[in-house]
Amino acid sequence: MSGLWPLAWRSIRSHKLRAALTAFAVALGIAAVLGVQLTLDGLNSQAQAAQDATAGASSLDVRVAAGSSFTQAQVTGLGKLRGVAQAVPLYEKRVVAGPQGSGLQGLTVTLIGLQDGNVALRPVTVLTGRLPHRGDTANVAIDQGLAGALATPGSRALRVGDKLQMITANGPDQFTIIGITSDTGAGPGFTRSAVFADNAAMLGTFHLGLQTPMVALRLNPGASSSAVAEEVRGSLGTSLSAVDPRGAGIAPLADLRPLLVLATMLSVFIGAGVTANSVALAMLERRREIGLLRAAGASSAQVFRLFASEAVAVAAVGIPFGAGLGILLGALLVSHYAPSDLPAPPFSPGAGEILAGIFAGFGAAVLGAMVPAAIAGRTPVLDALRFSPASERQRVPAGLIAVSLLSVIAGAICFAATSSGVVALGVALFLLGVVLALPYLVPRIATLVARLLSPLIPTAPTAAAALRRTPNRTALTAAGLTVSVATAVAVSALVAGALSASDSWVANLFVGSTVITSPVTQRDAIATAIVKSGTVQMASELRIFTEPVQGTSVAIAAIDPTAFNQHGGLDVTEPGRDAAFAALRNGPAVLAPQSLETGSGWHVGAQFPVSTDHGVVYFTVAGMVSHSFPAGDGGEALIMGSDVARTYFGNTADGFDDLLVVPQGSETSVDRIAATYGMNAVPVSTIEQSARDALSHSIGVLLALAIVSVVIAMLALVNTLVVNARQRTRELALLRAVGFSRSQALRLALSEAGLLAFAAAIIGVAAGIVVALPLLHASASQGFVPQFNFPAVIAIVLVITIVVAAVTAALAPARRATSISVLTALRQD
Amino acid sequence: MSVATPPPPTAVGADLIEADGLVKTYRISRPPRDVLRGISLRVKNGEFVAIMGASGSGKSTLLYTLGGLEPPDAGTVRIDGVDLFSTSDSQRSQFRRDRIGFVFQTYNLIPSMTAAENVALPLRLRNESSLPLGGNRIRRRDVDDRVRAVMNQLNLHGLQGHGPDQISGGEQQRVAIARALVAAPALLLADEPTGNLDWTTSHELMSLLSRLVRTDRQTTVVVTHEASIAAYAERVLIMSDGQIVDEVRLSHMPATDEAIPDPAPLVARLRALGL
Repeated sequence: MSGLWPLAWRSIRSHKLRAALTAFAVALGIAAVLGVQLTLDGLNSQAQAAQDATAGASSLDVRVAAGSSFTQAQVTGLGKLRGVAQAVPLYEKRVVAGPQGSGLQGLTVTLIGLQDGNVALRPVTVLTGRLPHRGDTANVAIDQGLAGALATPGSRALRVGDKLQMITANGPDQFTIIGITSDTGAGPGFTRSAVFADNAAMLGTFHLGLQTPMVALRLNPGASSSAVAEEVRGSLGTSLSAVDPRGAGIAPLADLRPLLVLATMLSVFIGAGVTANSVALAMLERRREIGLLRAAGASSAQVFRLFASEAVAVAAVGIPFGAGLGILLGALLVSHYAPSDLPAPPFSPGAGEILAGIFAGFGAAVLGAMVPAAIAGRTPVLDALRFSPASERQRVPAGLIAVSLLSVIAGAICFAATSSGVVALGVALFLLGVVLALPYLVPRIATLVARLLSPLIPTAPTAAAALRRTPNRTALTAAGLTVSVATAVAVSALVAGALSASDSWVANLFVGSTVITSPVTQRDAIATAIVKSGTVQMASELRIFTEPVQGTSVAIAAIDPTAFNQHGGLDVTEPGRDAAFAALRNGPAVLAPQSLETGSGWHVGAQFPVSTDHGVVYFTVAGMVSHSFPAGDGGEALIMGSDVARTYFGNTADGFDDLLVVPQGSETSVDRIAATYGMNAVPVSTIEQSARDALSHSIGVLLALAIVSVVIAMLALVNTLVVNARQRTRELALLRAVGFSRSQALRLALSEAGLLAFAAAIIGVAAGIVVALPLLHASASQGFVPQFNFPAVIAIVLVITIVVAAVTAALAPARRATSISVLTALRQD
Repeated sequence: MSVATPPPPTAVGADLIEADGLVKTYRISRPPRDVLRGISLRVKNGEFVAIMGASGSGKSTLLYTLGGLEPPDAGTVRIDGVDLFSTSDSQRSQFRRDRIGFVFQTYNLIPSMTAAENVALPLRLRNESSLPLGGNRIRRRDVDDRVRAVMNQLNLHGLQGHGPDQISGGEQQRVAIARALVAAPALLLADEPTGNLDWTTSHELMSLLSRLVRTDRQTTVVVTHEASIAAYAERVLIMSDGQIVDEVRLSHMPATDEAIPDPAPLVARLRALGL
């Protein structure tokens, strides 16, 4: 490249702004790829670390069906299986507990056995104090949430040194609290609030009714968990489950990943488009140089290499900035998305990740530049030699509109598909069709708008005529902007639709306007006391527990059907509300959320067996609700009448976890009474806002990436506007020579910029609306049907911002072009 | 014949250009316009030929076709025995680089390069396309020597470091001629080389070309519409409507740089043709 490299270098030096904007676009492309990659890796690491911590030393968790228990012989047998180094049983029992002096007035709590400070091979996080030692039968540790809930009304939360009274085989016994544990730490996660006692106590004073629902197996090095699981099933039968606690797939932001990848790829493609646009502009400005080089004997390949090397050099400048920005972006996103209840994720970008980000952003940019560089090499010599910017008149390639229409139609056909992959392909095809139609659309829309504006801006029609003269360049400039605006509008519509669906979910869920939440299951007497306090007009208990149903663990929400029927709450889709809630009162029946209809085949009238205190009972699906209460695992709970639940599941269904109330007076009095019992009162509107915040929090990154792609596309627009103004210096001078004032010439240049930006943005908004519809359709699920909401504010803000930015960007070069003396400008070629 | 290895130089007096039956029609205009209608011509090695004609007569198209820039619809062009349009585009580029020099009306100097760099461009292109260790590469010192020699020959001494915007139109055109000559081409093609120059500068330039032919036997073909410029040539081909309608041999090619040839016989012939 020794021969032509100086030419490339000097071109870069003489177009510093263009080079800088192009390098910046490449940097943003690299940053988007790297930032998202580092974020996902960081969150993966965090989730993996959390899963490892939760799994502890257990390699395989063996569980029996709910209500059953392992025998000691079975535990011993599991420990002798091939590949098993240790089998540790989980001892569990529900007991009534209360602070010293409370007699039998306490809460039913879960008591969990410790072996050497671990629960089923899992460590327990201790906030203060310590855990009971091996053989300790006098001391316990309790969860911090439980410590608050167990406090007597008006007194402080229990703490280390306090006495806890629990019912044992000998009657009420006193235990000393020696440690407070974390309810959200890397504990076993079997219950959100528990009392921890050493196994010596569990097998001693608590041995009556002690359950062993699980055995954790530690395997020998090299032993396969799946092979041992097979052995377990072979030994104890297939009714039990054997699960590797680390085997669950981890994918934070899983639902967003396809869209994240799409938005990231968009940034990269638009970055490549900016480079392509930059090279195309360089080619345009140096048409004569190309002709001369070719006439002087330069081959097509040499001209290609000249432009390609220029693009590579400029793109390379973007690498360090892109890498730096990407690492910064990754760090910000990881800190933004990492759940605060997990240990901070390690953020150590690896060389491989950085190289991959650079390779994607830089590679796409260089590939993008290859197209105009190849066109430069193949430019007919005489056309190039005779080229004059003032006489430039581009022809739209024949057949382009046909290809565009085909692409749009193919995209529209894909929109009707049910597969999200096909819909994504449809979106890509549709946007490709729109981009291919831009040489036709942008000049026409600009002309139409110019006609409308001509009474206000008399120069607008002349500006539109200039855009009609160069439809290809206009389209190349508008392409990135149109696609990025379309994406931003579509994502905004998606966000608005999802928020609206979320609002509708929460708004139709509860009875009453306030939810009193408890860290532990409370006794019914507490609800009665709250009602008697006169602070609430109405109170309805909600108890959520888990039972095995058809081999899987299913959450059940026990409600008061009468209260829900009278005061609203739950959106019953079939049959009528009266019939549905009456069925819940009358026998073993449930209401199922629509999300379970597809997956489990539960429809009205379907029956399924459930193991209960009265043996296996067939429950009937008496109705469907659009949404139910969250199950805690991302799913939704089955709805059951509370009396029926108590009948079939006994103590398990007793009490309440949440109390749904209508305050009698001020919210403050409800807050106060809730605090008295260690609970919190939360208005339903706050829950709605939390749901909106959580959704916005997740989807916000998509909007941010779409905005980044708009910024990148704006860089291409600025590049083109600068060249347009420079090229039209002579034309503007001619106009001034025949009587145009300097300000009129300036307005002409600025209106061209404004028209181009407006046309590109408005087409983008229209395309975004079209694309949003299939995306909303694809993102819908049973019971979650986001409706189309036109994001008017975002669209208007985007269009105005883009037009203002374009006019502002054109101001300096246009001023330069119009401030030059007429004679000097006329001498320019 | 392959263009990979340059053929032996054509002997002075032998045909350097052999064009036969050249036809070219521009179909982008409506109706299609025939700009070359079966033109055949011969130009001998060391000859100075001018092509004259009114605007649109096809003279520039003929020049660019002879130089391999404009492929004809029919007919052949052989330069130094090489059939230009039977070779690939890259072979034709290589041939142009090594055997043909172009001078344009608008100079076409690259603004970001100095005068010396513009002159050296064909040699740089040759080096750039050679393998790093290939034998065809010209050493940098040799390039500099050759550029200096050509610029001195064209009275451009002292302007090596100047940019195109720092020198006059006449000087720019001389730089363009230096660039066309630096690779010692077999053929120099000039399209209206004095079109942008004043009378004095135009005649200085034509004297220069005339001297090159006289002293170096540099085969030169010039396109012009001015009789006073064409009068410097030994032979003038007169074109009209895509055809060579007449040929005038001028016996009074100036013997010195200062002599200005009399265009009167040529003007008389043009009047006789009604042009």
